[in-house]
Amino acid sequence: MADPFIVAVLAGAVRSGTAVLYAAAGEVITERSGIINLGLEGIMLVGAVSGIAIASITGSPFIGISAAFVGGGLLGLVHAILSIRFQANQIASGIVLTILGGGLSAFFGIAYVGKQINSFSAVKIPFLGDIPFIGSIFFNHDIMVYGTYILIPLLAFLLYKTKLGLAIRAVGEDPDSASAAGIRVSHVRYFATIFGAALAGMGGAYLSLVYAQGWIENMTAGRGLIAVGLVLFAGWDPLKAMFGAYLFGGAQSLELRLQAIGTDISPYILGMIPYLLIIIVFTIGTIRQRKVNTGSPTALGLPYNPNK
Amino acid sequence: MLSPTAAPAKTKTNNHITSVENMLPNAKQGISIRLESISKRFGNVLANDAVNVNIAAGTVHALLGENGAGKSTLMRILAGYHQPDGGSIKLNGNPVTINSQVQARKLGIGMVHQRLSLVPSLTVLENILLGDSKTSFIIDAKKAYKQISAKMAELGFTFDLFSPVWRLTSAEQQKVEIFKLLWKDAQVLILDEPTSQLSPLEAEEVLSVVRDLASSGRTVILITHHIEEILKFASEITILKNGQSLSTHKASQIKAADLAKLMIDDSVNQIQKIPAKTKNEIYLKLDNISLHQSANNRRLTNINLELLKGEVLGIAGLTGSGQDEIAGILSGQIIPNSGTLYLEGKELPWKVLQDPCLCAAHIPAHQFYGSIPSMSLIDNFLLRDISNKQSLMLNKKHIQEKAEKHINQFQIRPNNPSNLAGNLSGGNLQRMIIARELNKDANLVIAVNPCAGLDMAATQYVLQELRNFANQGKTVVLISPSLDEMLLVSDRIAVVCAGKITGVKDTCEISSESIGLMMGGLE
Amino acid sequence: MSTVSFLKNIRAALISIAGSLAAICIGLLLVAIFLVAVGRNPVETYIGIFTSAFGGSFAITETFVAATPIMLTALAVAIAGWVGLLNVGAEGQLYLGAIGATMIAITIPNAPSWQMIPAMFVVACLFGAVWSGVPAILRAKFGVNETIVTLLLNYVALLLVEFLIHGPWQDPSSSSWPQTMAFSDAAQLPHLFASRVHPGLFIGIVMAVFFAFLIPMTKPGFIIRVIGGNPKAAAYAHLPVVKYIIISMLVSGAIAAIAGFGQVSAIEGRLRSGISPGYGYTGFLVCWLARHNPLAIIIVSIFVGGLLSGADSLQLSTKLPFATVNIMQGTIFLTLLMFENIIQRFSSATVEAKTPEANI
Repeated sequence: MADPFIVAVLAGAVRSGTAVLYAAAGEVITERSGIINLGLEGIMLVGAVSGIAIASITGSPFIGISAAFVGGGLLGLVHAILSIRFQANQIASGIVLTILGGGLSAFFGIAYVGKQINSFSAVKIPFLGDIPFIGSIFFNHDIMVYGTYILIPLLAFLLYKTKLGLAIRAVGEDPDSASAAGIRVSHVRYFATIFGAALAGMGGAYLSLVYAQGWIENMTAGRGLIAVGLVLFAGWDPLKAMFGAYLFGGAQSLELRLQAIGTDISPYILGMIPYLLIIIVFTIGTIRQRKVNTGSPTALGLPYNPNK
Repeated sequence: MLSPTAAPAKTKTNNHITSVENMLPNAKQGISIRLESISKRFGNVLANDAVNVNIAAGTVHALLGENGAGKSTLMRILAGYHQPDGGSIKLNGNPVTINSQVQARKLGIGMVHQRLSLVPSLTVLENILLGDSKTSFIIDAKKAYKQISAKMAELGFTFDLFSPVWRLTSAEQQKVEIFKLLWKDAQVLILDEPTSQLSPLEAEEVLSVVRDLASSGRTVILITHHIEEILKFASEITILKNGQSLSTHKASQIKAADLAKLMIDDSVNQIQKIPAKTKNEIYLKLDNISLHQSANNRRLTNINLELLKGEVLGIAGLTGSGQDEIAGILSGQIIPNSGTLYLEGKELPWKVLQDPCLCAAHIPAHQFYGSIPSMSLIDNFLLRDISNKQSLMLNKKHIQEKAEKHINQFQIRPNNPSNLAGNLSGGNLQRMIIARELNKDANLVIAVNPCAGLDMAATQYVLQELRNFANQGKTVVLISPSLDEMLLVSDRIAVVCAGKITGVKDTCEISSESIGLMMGGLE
Repeated sequence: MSTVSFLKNIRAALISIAGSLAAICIGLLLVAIFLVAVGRNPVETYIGIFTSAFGGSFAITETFVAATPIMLTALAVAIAGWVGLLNVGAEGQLYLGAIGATMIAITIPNAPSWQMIPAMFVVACLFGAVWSGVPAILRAKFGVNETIVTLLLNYVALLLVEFLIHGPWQDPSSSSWPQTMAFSDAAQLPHLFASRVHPGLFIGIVMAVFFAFLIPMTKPGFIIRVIGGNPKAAAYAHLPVVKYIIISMLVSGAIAAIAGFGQVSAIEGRLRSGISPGYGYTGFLVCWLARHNPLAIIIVSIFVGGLLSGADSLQLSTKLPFATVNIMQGTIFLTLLMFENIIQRFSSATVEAKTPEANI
């Protein structure tokens, strides 16, 4: 019953989706606090290059991933300063970060083109990995995929069950009221923006260290934006973002598998599928969102001016 | 870590009353407040000029005054938002300095603002826990629910803790705000215009809760300009005028008319009502209108309404009973699912109401819908003239002259027509919208809460203008949370309840009490 | 307008210019620190950029060549911005314009110039309008956020170009290069002043002047301003909001497409990938920094065009990778964005066109 083609596509979906998932999960946290970060594209690229650079210097992919976390977070700090401290237009700031991150990653990436690095290898989880069908789809991957299995529920817990999560949601919804209740709006937003960007950096590092195992200029190819699009589709919920990311991963995995088995369709046409899929999914998400408000942060994208 | 009340948060007991008790020996009997010659200046404006107020413990004390009399400023000083330039504050006779909200909270003073500080999408429980120093980092919802329900039961509060705040009625939201203060152990409650958005029945509901709190030993300060309420629920009244405290009275020893006289310079003029000559001539008729679902999840069922020439028709109802939807239909913003429109006896399509030339003049419920903050007053006035009559090229000179005329007529300040609408104060913005709408060449005016943010004199002027409009043989629909306003100018009042019209009465035949009952669906 | 308010406006404009210059200087300083850190001489680099941007007539014309697509895409962004939409898809619309122009050039290669050029122009505009029409309709009908859709369509547009130049339109005579065959002479826009400057520049300037007149002075301009300023008030006054939003977005896409038409017809002479090093994104930022003011867009585009062409030629002479251009661009825009808030606080200017805020 488990057609190897289907299993391969689905296992590939999890692998392909993981990079986007890190970014989307981070963006869920950021957007819940009322800040939209369209610069994920540039942040993922910086994460990808800092991951591969540090991993190839130290020989440890773990340190590489940590470096990506820090690198992404630093760019997130820039976005936070622009949009919180200077109340800049968040979309414009995002585009600036995309250009800047693209430039920085390309500049420093030149030295790592074609370089071999130690990567994480797939580790089959005993017992779980032996479950037919499910096992080979979900439990025969590298450690960073498993990381998301822990990270996503943890983020959901953070958002819904802790005081910090409550503060993040309140600040994104109604900063005036949150502030009146004693929450320091900008502190919460700084945290959410930097943390979200750091996770996006990890997503970038997953691409360079694990998925492609090498550096290619502009290797994210729009995944940062796709992550932003998925967040709305996911109704700002980490668990649903996981589903959305695998949907994107599935489209991409299917495209690659089809190319591998040889079809007449041009790879460039196949390559459009994930983007078009996200546009469709995004549209559906919006229409549903208008019918039942699924947690869209009301103050999203709006600067907060306490002296107003 | 996110709460500014970091200092008390660290001590495990977190019992604020203890600290108050240490300082104030009689906290159990409540806190009395003595404000002595408090002064506060903002730029050129002297908001408080040596104000003296004495507030006894365990009472409801009302601060009465017009807009800009200095009530809110005085209370914001007491609640730690502003520091006074001069004067002293004594709690139970002990002088204190309150230099922050945190400190005010520690002293047991809490304030509910006119604009409520509740996050609409969060549940009531989450709103109470937000920024609460008693809660641990990982929220134990069960435990919190138990504790909070116990406290609610103790104080006689009832609302659904798991409902998102936006689902609550305005009265319930007000009560949640009050409870939030009590949960933080407030002994002094300052309520800024708590009933301004409430219907008479709802206001009654909230104010009786407040009265009970006072009788259990808490001190309540009520900022308002609603005289009837004060006489019913407050024990003492201090009148503020032009930043000074005028006098303090016992509620049992003063009459409403005297209070009104003290509060304003001229006593209220009677609005001149000219009975319509052509009464019974129908201008517009809504025949069996139904709306299945509006944007706010509200509906209208089988609405029949006739608007007569030369009348002011008031539409009364509890918040969200459908009066906003009727205004939406009349102004062409909403097209109903079924029903027929007759205009001067002719059946016409709903599109007629959307024609920029033929559509009604419309003073919207929210100023934001009727103005463009980023554009000049000139452009904002032009908004209604941009119909088919307007030529392709804008005649700047003509437009500017017209704008200046409106500005002078309605005394909009500052009077520079190039000023951005976003820089106007709420009251002046409302004047701008009214000036524009009343000058629109229309046969129908729909005025939704037209006097929001206006002081007594301006309210009087606007109501008179609306009346004049009707006196010219045109039609006015007035929707306002203030029944008094509607009774003052309307010829007839239609009452809506849960999307249905429960009755249309001539104003001379009814009292505000019977309307109140109809609004609640009780009559 | 009274003298006082006139002087106020002058003062505001001066503060705005001074602030922008200060921001650019700080940006350049930051890039200089970066250059030192990677072992380059910043002074030499900057002098190099300046001379290759503005030193001599060739340099200046090359600056105008780079400014042309930036100006057109920035105007495209501005038109959408006036009705409150964020068109971040000028890059994709530019590529669609290039595809449209190419389609005519290779399907009727023998047509005379007077038929060829107008046909290329019209089809380019149509293609660009289709590309912006999709997000416009999604936005107007379903309220779908146009920022995300326009951005994603950029990637689809690039893949479409790749598909065409690797597939049906590939030049059979150079099968190793992914590009179309060279356009016939009739399909190439004339060059002016013995340089690569082409009529696209004047189309951009004329459009900017036209809009500078249309927006403040006419009835449609007023309606556009109202919709951009507060769409709720526009609906309240029963103005045709949906119609204006869709038309503005279509015009926006068409103007961005003219940039693509210019690139293939006047600069490259054929369609290949990489006809735009992100002009659409640069145009977005240029428009934003010019505060959606069409006349300011002309000036800012020429400045940024100089930066791009200067840094571009520097790449050849000093072996700085092209990425440096993006780092420089990114940093300067970053400091400008930071100063935006400070400048506005100092100059209480009457801002005519409101910058749309994100509303997702």
